[in-house]
Amino acid sequence: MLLDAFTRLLDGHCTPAFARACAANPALAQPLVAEIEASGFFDVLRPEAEGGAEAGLPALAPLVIACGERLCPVPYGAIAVARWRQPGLDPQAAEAWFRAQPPHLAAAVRAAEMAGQGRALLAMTITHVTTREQFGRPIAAFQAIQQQLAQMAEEVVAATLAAHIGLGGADFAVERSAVAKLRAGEAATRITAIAHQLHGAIGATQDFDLQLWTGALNAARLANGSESHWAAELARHRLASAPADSASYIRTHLQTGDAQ
Amino acid sequence: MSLLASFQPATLPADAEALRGEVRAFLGPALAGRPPRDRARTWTAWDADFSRALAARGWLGLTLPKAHGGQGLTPFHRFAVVEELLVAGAPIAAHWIGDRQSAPLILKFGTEAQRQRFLPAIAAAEIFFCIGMSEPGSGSDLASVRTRAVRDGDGWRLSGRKIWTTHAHRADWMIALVRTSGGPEDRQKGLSQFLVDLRAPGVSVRPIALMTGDEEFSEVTFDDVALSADALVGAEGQGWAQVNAELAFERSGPERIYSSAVLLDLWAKSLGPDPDTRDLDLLGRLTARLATLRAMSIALTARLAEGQSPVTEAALFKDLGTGLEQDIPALLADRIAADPARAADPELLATLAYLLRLAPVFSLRGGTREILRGMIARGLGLR
Repeated sequence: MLLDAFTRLLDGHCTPAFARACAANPALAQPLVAEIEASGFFDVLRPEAEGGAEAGLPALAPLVIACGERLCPVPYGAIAVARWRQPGLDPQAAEAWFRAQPPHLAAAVRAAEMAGQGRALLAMTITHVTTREQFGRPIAAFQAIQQQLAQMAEEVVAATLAAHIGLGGADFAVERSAVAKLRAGEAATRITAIAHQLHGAIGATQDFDLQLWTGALNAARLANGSESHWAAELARHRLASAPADSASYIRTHLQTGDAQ
Repeated sequence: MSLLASFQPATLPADAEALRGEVRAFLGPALAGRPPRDRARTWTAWDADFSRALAARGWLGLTLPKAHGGQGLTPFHRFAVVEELLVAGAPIAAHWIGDRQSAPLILKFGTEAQRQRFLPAIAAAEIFFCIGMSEPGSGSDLASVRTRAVRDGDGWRLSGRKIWTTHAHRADWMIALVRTSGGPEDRQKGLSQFLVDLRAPGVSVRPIALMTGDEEFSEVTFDDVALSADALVGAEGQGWAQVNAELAFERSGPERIYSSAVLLDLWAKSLGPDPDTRDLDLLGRLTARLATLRAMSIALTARLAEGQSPVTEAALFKDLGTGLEQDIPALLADRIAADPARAADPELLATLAYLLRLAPVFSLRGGTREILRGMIARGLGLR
């Protein structure tokens, strides 16, 4: 329900052309900011008594994933988290507040955006290989293409579940963010490589929209700490934690939240 | 994409989690003194007494109805119990195939008489099952099977050969996929499933030694074996569809991520208070992958609990999971053997050596990597 209404709102604005225009002039995103504000989606985490949806952090994951999928130029996740912690901030102040927080907050939100970007790249690549013909048939007919697409889908699913772990607790946690950003970063490398490989030369052009998403995924990988940073954070947390075996550690600290 | 939509995050209900305490309390003393290199064998290690001890505590047939000797619980309960068994490295091969997929198959497609006969016996670890799929000429191309059952009065006569059948030389019964009409050119049509008593006249079983030194697989020859009418499971000619219904059970569980967990945990425990940054990096990366895969498996368990059969999703999970299972020994080998001047702990080394030899099998057993990726591609609409 929440997700359907939110994606309808985003779909009214978020086209590739909109992403390009906002990249050149961020002020163009203001109508979308205003519409999200009017819809109440910035307050999705706030208590019902204060006019929010009290949805819980796990419910934020699908919304942020939807933003990543559409290259939403508004830092929605950051603003929604800031509104939860500091009610009353306007979107710009909320974004500034969020930037001043410990890095694992932004890492978890970023990872969810990355999962969404990966989903979009998978969909675009499927469309391409099922329509592009060579040797008299769609290139999707070739096993070499199919096997790469299958691996791409695996990485997208893994990044998605990792994002759900990142936002899976009642509150943010370093170890959760570490799993999410680390796994999303690993997936990003493979997803962008396969997307470009299967698109061929057209995918490497400025005019073709693929590069908007692979560029965003590259940039997201470089933001809020890369894989090696979060791997070390996660390992230190694990070694300092009581349960000795991997499964117990994961069960205690790294479960997803429930589906909404 | 419905393939992605199936992976909705889920958690185990509290009463499923609650089963873990008892299981751990049992496993502690039961496995004391079992060295890691043996624990690493988990669901390939056969111990009928151990399976019977689990059955006596009600931990087999968890999802079977009480009327059929089970516990009437959910796939979530089974996940919790199985996860504890795998992580502890319990020897669970004897009941493994029957508990995981033969029992659900018989429950779904069997006659009431077959259910009454086999399900309580599986839940009690009185009868152990294996699955006859591959043949000498039919590996990944399973639809080309040539083993054939022909009508003989009310019953059937079975001839042919199965190979790579897990623990057939120790199991009591096989559910075999065989041809009942047409020829190999008819592919998925004309296949049926039969319950075969492996002690029946005309059945011979030859174990095959693996390069690990274990005898995990066998070759089974059927020489004009007489089968009664009630040996047929489900409908004649529906074998392919029935086999596919098993695959979600076979490929979605935690045994596709924990095959190298004993090694990972033994190595993690061996790291000192101030580990090398390379060790930290590796531990973090492997833990993140394992956590993500566990979440995927629980998501699929939720689909099973809803009565769905997420076969393509299970293929995706299994391919990614067995990749981690293989990477753990491959990547840890470099760290464990890093120092030319200092020999690694012998138990750690022995466990590593065993898993390095077994690891190629992870992406072969239960469907090869290439076949799984082909299924995923079909699920994505590519073929």
